Amino acid sequence: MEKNNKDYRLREVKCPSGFTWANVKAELRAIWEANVKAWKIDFAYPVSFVRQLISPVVFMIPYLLYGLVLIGGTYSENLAQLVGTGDVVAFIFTGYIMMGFIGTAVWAMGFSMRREQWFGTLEAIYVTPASRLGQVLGMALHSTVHQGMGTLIQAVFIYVTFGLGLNMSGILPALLIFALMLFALYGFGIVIAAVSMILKEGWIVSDSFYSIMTILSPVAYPLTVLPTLAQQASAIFPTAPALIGMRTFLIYDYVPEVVGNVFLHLLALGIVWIVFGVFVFHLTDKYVRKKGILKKY
Amino acid sequence: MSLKMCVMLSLVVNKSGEVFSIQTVNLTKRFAKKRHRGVFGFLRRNQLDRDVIEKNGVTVALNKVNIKICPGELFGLLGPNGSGKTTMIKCLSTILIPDEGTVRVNGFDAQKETSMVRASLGMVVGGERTLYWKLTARDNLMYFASLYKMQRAHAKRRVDELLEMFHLSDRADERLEDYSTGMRQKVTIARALLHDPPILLLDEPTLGLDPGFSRQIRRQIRELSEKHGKTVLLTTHYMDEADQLCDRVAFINSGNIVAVDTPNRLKARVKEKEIVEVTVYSPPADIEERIRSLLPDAEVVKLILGDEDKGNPSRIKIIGGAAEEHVGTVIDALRQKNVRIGSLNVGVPTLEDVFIKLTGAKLTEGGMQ
Repeated sequence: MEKNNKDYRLREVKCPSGFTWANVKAELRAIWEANVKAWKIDFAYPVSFVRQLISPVVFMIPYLLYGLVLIGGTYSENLAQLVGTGDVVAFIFTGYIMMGFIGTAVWAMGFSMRREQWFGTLEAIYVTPASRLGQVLGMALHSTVHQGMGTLIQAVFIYVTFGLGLNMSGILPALLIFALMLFALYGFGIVIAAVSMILKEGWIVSDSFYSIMTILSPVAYPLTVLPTLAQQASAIFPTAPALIGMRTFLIYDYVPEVVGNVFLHLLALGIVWIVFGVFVFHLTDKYVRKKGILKKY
Repeated sequence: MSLKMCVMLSLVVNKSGEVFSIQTVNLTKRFAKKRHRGVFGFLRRNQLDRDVIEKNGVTVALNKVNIKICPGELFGLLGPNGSGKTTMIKCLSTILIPDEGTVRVNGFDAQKETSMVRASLGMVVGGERTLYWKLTARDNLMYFASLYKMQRAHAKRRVDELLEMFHLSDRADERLEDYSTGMRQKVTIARALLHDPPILLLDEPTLGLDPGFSRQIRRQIRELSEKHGKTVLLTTHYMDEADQLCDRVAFINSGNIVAVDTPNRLKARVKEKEIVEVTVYSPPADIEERIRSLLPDAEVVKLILGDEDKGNPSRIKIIGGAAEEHVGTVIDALRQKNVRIGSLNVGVPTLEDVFIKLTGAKLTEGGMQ
């Protein structure tokens, strides 16, 4: 049986596209739903979910104990000479918060596309009209909230057990710095997500960048203890300036290791990393579709 | 009708007034072959290797494929594993970017208007893991509805409708890990229909399903074409499936389209009594050669190996010449080699016979599902 094709008309497709408010709303909803989906999958593994919530506390304790034993208390004269404050607990706690969010960018965001590849759903996502960046940003949203919850638990635990003392009046500017840092960090996370689609062994990419950023961010030591070249290199990642800026507002008597406008620095980094990230992501998207390696692991 | 839609229609209506849901022109896709030489292989790579890679390093998955599929048509793409069926589907669905040629889907250029092409398509890929097993059927569908940019209220209604249509409503809130393979495949098809696309790409939709579920899926595919007016491109290597379902069938082999026509017209290319099929058990490797030497006028003598453990005996197909008159010769040859014969059929050509006659290649190993 052959159909008379003149009896049929092509059908109009209703799908928002381009720079329209309807499309922006649809893309934002896709990001939100990717975040909700990630939570639902997390809740399907309750033990793993709880472990992830308490792991920031568990991982931080050795850092703190190590420092306290070496110093012989919570006050370090040497630290005070370098950055004005000798409060080791506040110094390490603020640094460790940053480590958690570096993980958000390089692990959660960086792995977002690979995770879909592992689930077997990446091609199904690719044939939908929503932007693939939505997957990465949905995962960023999910992981930021997840990490935020872990950080709160961490803060309460450190306050109760080690007597954490922070300047609460500096919390708002510190949060603003933090938000600017996240913006730049998301751009960085998009780059990792793109690169890991080509290199496949995504954990190597994530692990390498996690190590580099942890060293270049003054998590448990002042930036000035690093070689000059490393100090200069740290300026291209948002975590070092953000950490120094946040400590300025949160820790009493803290004297920043570097001078300059942290807000402008982070804003510039944010724009550069986001633009670079989206550019690399689109190039990678084309490359994997050209080479046919989307599904390959 | 929007301006964009008007433009789109004008693009796909050619001079004779025909409209096409899917049209490919000289569609070509090549893949680089990768040679693995072990961990330290790169040290051993020499000029000779480089010459070999340059000469033979490319697989042509699709070779200047031209296909026109009309709106509402149920079109089958039939070919053996590795013939280029999935590559074709991936090029149409924008998962792959072709090396040469153009693809138009619902009037949209697949390279320039990817978003609209994706919105025009629903795709089903055979295989187990294309959904989130840790989510329920409803959650899966709601999530993909957001990726198809559907509004939440509309998506909810549509998901309920589809769950009802596929008889999954009572288990809609169970995780997919508790579903059978067939039920999961129904969810996959429901996902492809979420945004009510005019075109469906079904890549081996009954792969791995038991006969009962396969029948249900085939019935639903037929309904989607006939009742809902969907254009369906179905790839399969199950010839009966294509024969039962499709308005037209294209044979694809090694990336080339070798024939396009209705199943009946294709089958008419092989006359009755030109076909002899013998099912045999444990045939020796040289039996094909032996029979061919005895029947010089036969166009094709093909041994299609089966899987006897799964109840699929091997088959010997003889096509062309006066095959029917040579039945005695074939039986004698098999007896001489002590081959046990299961059955012997003469006549009634199938699509597989046509495919074998046209290409010399076999469509399936182990016969039909």
